[in-house]
Amino acid sequence: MPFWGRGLLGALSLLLPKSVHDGLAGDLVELYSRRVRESGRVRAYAWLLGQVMWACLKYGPSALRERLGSSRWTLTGWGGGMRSGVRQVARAPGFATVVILLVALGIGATVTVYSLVDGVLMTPMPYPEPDRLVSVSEDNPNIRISPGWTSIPNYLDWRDRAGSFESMALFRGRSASVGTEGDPQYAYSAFVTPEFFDVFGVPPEFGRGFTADEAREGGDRVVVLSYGLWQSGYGMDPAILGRTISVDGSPRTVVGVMPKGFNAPGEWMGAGITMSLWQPFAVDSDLERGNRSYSAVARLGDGVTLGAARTEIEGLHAQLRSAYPDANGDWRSQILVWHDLVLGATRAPLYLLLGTMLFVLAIVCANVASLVTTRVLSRGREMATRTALGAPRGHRARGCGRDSGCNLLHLRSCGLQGGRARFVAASRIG
Amino acid sequence: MGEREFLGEFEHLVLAAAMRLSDAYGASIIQEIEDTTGRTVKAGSLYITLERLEKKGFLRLRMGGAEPGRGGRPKRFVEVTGEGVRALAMHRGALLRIWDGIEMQLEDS
Repeated sequence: MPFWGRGLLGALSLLLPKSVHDGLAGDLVELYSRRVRESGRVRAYAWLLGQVMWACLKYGPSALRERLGSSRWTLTGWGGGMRSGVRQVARAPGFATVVILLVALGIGATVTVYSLVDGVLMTPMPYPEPDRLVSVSEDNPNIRISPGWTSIPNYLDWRDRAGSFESMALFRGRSASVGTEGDPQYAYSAFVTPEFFDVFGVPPEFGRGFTADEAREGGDRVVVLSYGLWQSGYGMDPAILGRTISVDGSPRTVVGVMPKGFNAPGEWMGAGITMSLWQPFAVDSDLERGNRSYSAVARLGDGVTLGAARTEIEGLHAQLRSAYPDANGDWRSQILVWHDLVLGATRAPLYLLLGTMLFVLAIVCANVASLVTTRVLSRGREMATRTALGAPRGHRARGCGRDSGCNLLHLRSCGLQGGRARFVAASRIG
Repeated sequence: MGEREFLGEFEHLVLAAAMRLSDAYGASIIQEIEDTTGRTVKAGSLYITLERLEKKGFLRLRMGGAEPGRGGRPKRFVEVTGEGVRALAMHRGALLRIWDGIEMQLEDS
């Protein structure tokens, strides 16, 4: 549960009787965990926020009445004070609107950006032990090239000779046309070596992955479907295994279906890409060592550090450079944690955006503070009347605080609502 | 049984869901109602309803022990009383009687 979720549940204890709070907060924690598993973190956040706000609405009025007591609803008590505050806000609606909108904008924007940063940068990849998942590729200081690419022969040499990895796979993504029960569908597909699913640590939901024989030129034409394609394209046909489907106009036999949510290597191929099928990669299809059009992904051996794997692979690559100077001359090996490779260029702009938003929030706060100060100064006459009528200094100070409090209550709800709306919109776009 | 003891729609769902469950408490009742009826349930509304039903004598609420999967918070168990079962049976009877004779029209429409 995020820190603000724990904070919200804690805040509920101010409104709810202890017996109700303990049971209700426990239920929300339990149902929240289930929702994260079933519908993802963003939807679970929105659900939790809705639940807490609803509980506040249901229990708030009676709890406030109980806490404040009817005798305190006088001009000097909190109830009277809040009424006076509301009157002050109503008397200067322009001022109140500017303050509320300013801070609502600041809080809403910051909450939205923080939710994005939390969802994209801080959520671990949906694979077992994701820190052991690495991309093994090559980099050339003389050429501007995005990380994550290598050639088939270099991959084969690394795979056969390196001891730092539990398994290593090669893949190449591409689009495909799939003949489903309805119209043919445009789909994202990847050619992958048999080790691919082991590297990601996710076995098929049912059926199997690929065999070494299938991953050769002229091997059996088989395919593994994503859960989504099995669901949308074939109506969750229970007899899908062994069924022949058309991929790019050629027949392929379905041998497996991956579990819901498995999307590798779609997260690296681009934002919003949903993988639909995987086909066996014929590793003997391109023996040109200089053709770096493929990507290798590996799982580090148990207890092997990233540094140790880098040292070993660079040692092997030095041998490959001497043996094949034409193809490998200027190329160095490069190992990146899969999560870092996927985030790639996204990380810096997101942090920059968060920093900018915090800065904007600070400017908003400074502006609002100066507005409120000006307003307090303009109430000199009212203060003089209050003093003449015998209001103690504490009451006068509290009066000013209450006006700001009323504004705060409004803007907090506006900010959270604005943030929630943008948050839901962002989750739909994402 | 007086007229005042008729159940509201949500009260009826809560009581019936609590009877269906061997382990009835807030989260399990919410899940049961959502799974069987497809409607979304707010925990705040459920707890207000549970307290109202307890005041009417239709159920008893009992706190359990602290549980790790719930942030160390206890479950508030729900037990339907004999009064509650009778109220539910009366509600069901009233529904069946008022539906009698018009179900065919629904099927035809």
